[in-house]
Amino acid sequence: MNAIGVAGSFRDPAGRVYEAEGRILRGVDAQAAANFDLLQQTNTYRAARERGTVVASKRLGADHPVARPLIDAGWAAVIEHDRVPLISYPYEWSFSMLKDAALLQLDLLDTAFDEGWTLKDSTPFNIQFVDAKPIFIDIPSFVPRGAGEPWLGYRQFCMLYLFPLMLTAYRGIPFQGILRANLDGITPIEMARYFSGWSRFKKGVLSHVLFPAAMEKRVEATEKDRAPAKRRAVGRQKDILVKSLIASMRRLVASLDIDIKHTAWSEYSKTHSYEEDDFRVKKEFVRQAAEAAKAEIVWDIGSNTGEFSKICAQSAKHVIAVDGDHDAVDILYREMRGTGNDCILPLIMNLANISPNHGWAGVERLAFDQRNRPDLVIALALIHHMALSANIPIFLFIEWLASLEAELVIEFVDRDDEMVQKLLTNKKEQYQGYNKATFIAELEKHFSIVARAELKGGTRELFQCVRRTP
Amino acid sequence: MNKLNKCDAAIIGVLVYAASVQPAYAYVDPGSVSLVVTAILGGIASVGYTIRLYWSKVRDFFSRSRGSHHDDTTGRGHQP
Repeated sequence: MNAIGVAGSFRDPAGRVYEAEGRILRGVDAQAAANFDLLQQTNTYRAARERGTVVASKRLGADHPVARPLIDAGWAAVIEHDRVPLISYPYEWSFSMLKDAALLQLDLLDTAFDEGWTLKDSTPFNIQFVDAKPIFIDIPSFVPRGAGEPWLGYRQFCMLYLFPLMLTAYRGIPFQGILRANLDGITPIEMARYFSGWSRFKKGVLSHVLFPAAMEKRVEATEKDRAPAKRRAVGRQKDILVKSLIASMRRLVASLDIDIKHTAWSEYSKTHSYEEDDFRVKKEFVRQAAEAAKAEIVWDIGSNTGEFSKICAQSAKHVIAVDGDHDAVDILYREMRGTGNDCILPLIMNLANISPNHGWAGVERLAFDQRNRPDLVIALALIHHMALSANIPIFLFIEWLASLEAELVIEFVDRDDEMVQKLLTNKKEQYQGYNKATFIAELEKHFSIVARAELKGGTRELFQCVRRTP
Repeated sequence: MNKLNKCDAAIIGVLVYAASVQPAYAYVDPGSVSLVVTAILGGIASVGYTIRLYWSKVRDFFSRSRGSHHDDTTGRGHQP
């Protein structure tokens, strides 16, 4: 058996995640193994397992065939975790998704604290969404709390949860691009630069942004060059101090919110350009294609508020609904969470600039198209945006779709469609190469067309395709 | 002006002593100061926490006769 180390799991020296035969294994040291045995006896862990907010995990015997190679490699024990079906990262989440992840982190910390435990870090990379539900996956983060130990993950929580949420809620600045560029989050000093005038007095800014930033600037000023670092041990912190800080942080995070605006796509279900009959034909075409593909995982790229993701979700096990419009994605997430029928994972992404491989050695966080593989991709009324707005040539877009090795439902929007006309109105470049004949020729290089349906009097056409065998 | 919480109000005074912007230095660990930050913020938060705790007990005492019970000291109204 060949166990492959998961690139993003190297930061904690107490363990490492491996993938072997489709199973998710974690080699851990003796202390982490002992902690896991104790953790399973706590009410925190039991209650979280009942609610499904921590990943299901179990110790494997040292002689278990999949555990043996990791034991031989020097790990003291092996824990097996349930596989999370789809991996996503915080810079692909909407505001409400990051907020729910933050609240889960704080709730787990708070209940663990009451039983003498703590979470040794506070990173949203320890949380995954199983469809529209956040779940904590880094079990070795739970450690017994030392006597008088402060909240060690406080600064990391601020940098990766609180500050991004504050930026969007208070300043209207999307956090996704900032988190994508800064995997460790936003430092207090950087964050302080976003606030001036009265905005400094918004709830929590003075205490969690400006005060720590001022303290850190002071340290930088007094310990630069060869000046020795001062010891900053503050002795034991009373339980009430730590508990109060966690409770105060929870109230602050819960109070952060955004107004959902009528953006380009957030009202799609009411503002789309189809007549009722055409829209019905389109829905039925997608439903039949999804059923025929027997797809376990569907990607709906350019999903808007997920009208067609929901149709695919009737037959697929998991659907990733991707769109570049934050409010459209947030609306879908808010609708899906807690419905019990939430097998859709909504994500924010500019499809002309999908999440890349990056982090340590360029592999710590994987590109969107390298960490999940679809069985069916639906790209409805997307190609004109890719070709005419993002300047991605038709052949390149179709080559990328083909590289996903999935079945495809794609809608071509022709030059005489009113929405294409709108896109071309003020452009000098008129993209003469953008036409149905070119599109079909490029499509047939990689796919076989198995069904077609015209919409809107022929200005749009749906194509159901299967990949040609290379 | 937006709502200030108790931590914010208390922290205004502490901010006065450090105003200048300095660049980051490779051997300096500004994050080490978060131990001090959590001690101060925790101290301030604990005042409000204690008041909330006792206030909820007083409220419970008077509302018990009406058959209602409320003991939310954490502000936990929202579950993800």
